[in-house]
Amino acid sequence: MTQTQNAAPDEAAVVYPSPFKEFWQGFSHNKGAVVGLAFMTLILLAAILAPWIAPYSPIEQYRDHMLVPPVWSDGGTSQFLLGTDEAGRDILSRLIWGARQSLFIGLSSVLMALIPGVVGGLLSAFFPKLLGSSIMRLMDVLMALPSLLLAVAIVAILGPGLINSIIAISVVSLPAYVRLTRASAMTELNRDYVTAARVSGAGLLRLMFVTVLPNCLAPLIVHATMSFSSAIIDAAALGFLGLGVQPPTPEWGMMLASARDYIERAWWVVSLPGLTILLSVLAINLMGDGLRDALDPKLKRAA
Amino acid sequence: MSLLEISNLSVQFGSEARPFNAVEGLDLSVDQGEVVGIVGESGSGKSVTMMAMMGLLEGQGRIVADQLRFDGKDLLKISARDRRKIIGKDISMIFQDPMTALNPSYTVGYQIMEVLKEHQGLRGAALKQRALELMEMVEIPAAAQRLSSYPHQLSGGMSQRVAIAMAIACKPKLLIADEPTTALDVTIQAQIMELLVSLQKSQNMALILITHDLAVVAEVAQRLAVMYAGQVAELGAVPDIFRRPFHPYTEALLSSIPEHSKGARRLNTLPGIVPGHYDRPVGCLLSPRCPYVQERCRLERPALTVDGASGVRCHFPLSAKEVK
Amino acid sequence: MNHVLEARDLTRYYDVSQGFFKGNATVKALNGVSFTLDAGKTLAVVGESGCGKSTLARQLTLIEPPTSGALLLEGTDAAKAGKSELQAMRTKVQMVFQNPYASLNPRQKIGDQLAEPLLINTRMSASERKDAVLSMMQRVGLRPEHYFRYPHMFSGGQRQRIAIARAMMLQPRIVVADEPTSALDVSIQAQVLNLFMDLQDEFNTAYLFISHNLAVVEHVADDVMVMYLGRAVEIGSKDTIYNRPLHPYTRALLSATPSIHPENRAIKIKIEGELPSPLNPPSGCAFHKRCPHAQERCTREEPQLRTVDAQRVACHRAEELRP
Repeated sequence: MTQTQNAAPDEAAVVYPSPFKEFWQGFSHNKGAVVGLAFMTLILLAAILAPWIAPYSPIEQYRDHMLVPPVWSDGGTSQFLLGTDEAGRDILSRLIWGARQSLFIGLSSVLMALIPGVVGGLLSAFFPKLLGSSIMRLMDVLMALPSLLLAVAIVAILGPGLINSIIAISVVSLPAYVRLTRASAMTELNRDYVTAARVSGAGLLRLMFVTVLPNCLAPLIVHATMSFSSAIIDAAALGFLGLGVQPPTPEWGMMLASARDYIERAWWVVSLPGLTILLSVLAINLMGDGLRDALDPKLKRAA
Repeated sequence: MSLLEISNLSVQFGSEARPFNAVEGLDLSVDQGEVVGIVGESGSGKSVTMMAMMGLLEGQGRIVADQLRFDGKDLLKISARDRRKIIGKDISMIFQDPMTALNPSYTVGYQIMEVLKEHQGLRGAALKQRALELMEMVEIPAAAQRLSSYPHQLSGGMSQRVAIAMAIACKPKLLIADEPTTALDVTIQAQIMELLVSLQKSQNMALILITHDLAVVAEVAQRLAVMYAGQVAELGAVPDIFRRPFHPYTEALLSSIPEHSKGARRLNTLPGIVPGHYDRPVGCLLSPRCPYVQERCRLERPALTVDGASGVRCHFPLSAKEVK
Repeated sequence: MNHVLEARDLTRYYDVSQGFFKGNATVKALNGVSFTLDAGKTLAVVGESGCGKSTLARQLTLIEPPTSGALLLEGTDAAKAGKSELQAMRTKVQMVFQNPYASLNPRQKIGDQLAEPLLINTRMSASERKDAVLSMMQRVGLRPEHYFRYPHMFSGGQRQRIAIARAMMLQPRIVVADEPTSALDVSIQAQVLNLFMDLQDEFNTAYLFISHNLAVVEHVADDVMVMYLGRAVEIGSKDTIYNRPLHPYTRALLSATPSIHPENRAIKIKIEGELPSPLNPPSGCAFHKRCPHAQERCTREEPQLRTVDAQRVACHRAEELRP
């Protein structure tokens, strides 16, 4: 007995970082990811604090100040920092309020795809014969259709609007989650620790959500981040086609669409929302890279 | 003169500020036609030593040595191009996992012939003939048919035979076998070891056998180096070192083998584990685990004292003790 | 006599798809294995990869039903047990795996993993569970601060201690150990084997110890069962098997095991070739193609396990070949 007792003490008291600290070390190693995170925090704050920081109401039309250029161009005034659009609405305020719509669309469409996707993926991994092939064939059908066309078709059936475009976007991005979850759950299922949990009597739900799922999360989180940005783009595209959020609600994609007639006369009306979309998507993708560095165990050095 | 002479080899990984010595002050010599075993637990630096010698650590670790002489040439002083000519031809290596050592996308025959083309310039019928000869040398049944099979169609034992065929294709002077039978079953292990030894004799190669299995070394090697945490703890001729180890670590390794405690309910153990990268003790590396530790061991690192063919790195070598 | 475990003619077949047009083939992974195991004893199962050892382990842990045959746990037949009865039987058999790096959940704290069997199978309160976990951790040589750590912070030997602790949490009657030390270094192997022995003395647990390392088996086993291609070819007490092996395969295994002492080295019996494919096993005795003593009869007739001297052996020529 004494033997086993003193068998471990030598292992010097190396202090291991907590999981969060370890994650942050990996994440902050990637400079781009930190910049992305900073930018997204800014956007998030803007969205939350919109009623207080936006200088004007986003739908208020100042008829005397139509198509005023931004403050740094000729003819700009400090009254409208980023200028006004064709209806005399303040672009800065519309961008700030639009962040709410875009983040809401991104977040909710990711969640609406993630949750059924994870459940479907787990089910098809746990019951490969019973459910696996039917779920996967259904996903193959969804993947065989061009995603934007499918989204357009879904919106056409359900009717345009914010909620319907979210549904359309999440249906389109569902197959990726199912496949991802299924693939990683199948590899984890063959691991001995799953058998060990079975031997100690764990039921199906426990096996699925407590034992297996946490080990499949890393690629899912990374993918969710990436698809957050593509949801924003898809929403913008739907808005551009007039199938998304309806006027006068401020939404970045729709702002682009309604301004397309003025491209030649007033560059800021088009470029500013376009630039905002570009920067947000870039920031999220950079963050996704950082997340992958921090979470992907394959890249992690062996402990 | 020895075929291979390594003196004071150190391999360092990590940043300059926080270096970690995977191998420290290693001396080893191997004569032509000799079988030398290197034994140690995982993390003891046995594989890193061989990788460093083969130049496989380029860009990863810093390699320093007084001398790394193979066949009269110092491997550290010649150009990378000259070294490539030696490695794979005069020195070759086989690995633990034969399944991953072969490229799954090419046939066995193609892979053997590639080696022959590269190093021996063989072409056409002579090339095919030699490949077949090699397959027969490693006792692969139905060799002619097996030339066109893919690695996944072969069992672990067969794959290891193919890997050996590739390794001896250029009649190397030195073959390094890194845990060649660890992944294999007992009866297959016996077959492969027998093959390796008979090839070593018939080709008059030197063989370095890296393993953690003392019994395998005991059966085939003439000399043995026991490594612990990057250093050679003990060197010696094979029957002697097993009968009478001088280093407490060697003694502990031997006595922790079940074969040594026949009839006993418990085995003798060395408490604890090999020190990690950054928690190495100041004194003797074994001092936290050594049952005979003294004050001096904790303060001062012992040097390897060589006496003829044997050497031991210990302040207080076990002298008169016989291991039961 | 009341055995803690009894397997009667245990069989497990798998259907393997051979491609789109060929239909399925049947692999007889476990082809009629019978044995008994008593409390506090160790039965070692020896054989090369593909001999059915791991399939046997899966049968014993009741996570997979046998194709035919019976498995009696403390006298109760697993096949006839109801659902709740089966759940109770499951807690009596636990398992320790070969690879300590894969057998622990990488995203769960050690304490939670050890508490999981208690959480599922008992009505203990959270603090009772924690006390039980801490005392078991101390028992296997882990320190209390390890409770909140994740598996990647441990060495292979320590992980195997954790895995053993998890298997012992419910104080099972039987622990199935599938090559528990083959991934470990020799000195660590000795520590882990000692732990197994100590726990057996303390809890009177029966072990089914699967290994291909005959030196380890000789140390731990009371009885030994040698398997070849899904069948037991020889069963007997350790001393009989090691001192007077009768089956040619057992002898080959023993002589293939290297030894550090020249005087312990047997004359090598060279056996040719490798394990035949279980998809297409040879006719008659499965070993005849590699056996140095094979006769015409061995190619036709499958030998049954029968009692010869002190052991049971499946070989037609067991008596003739007796040393």
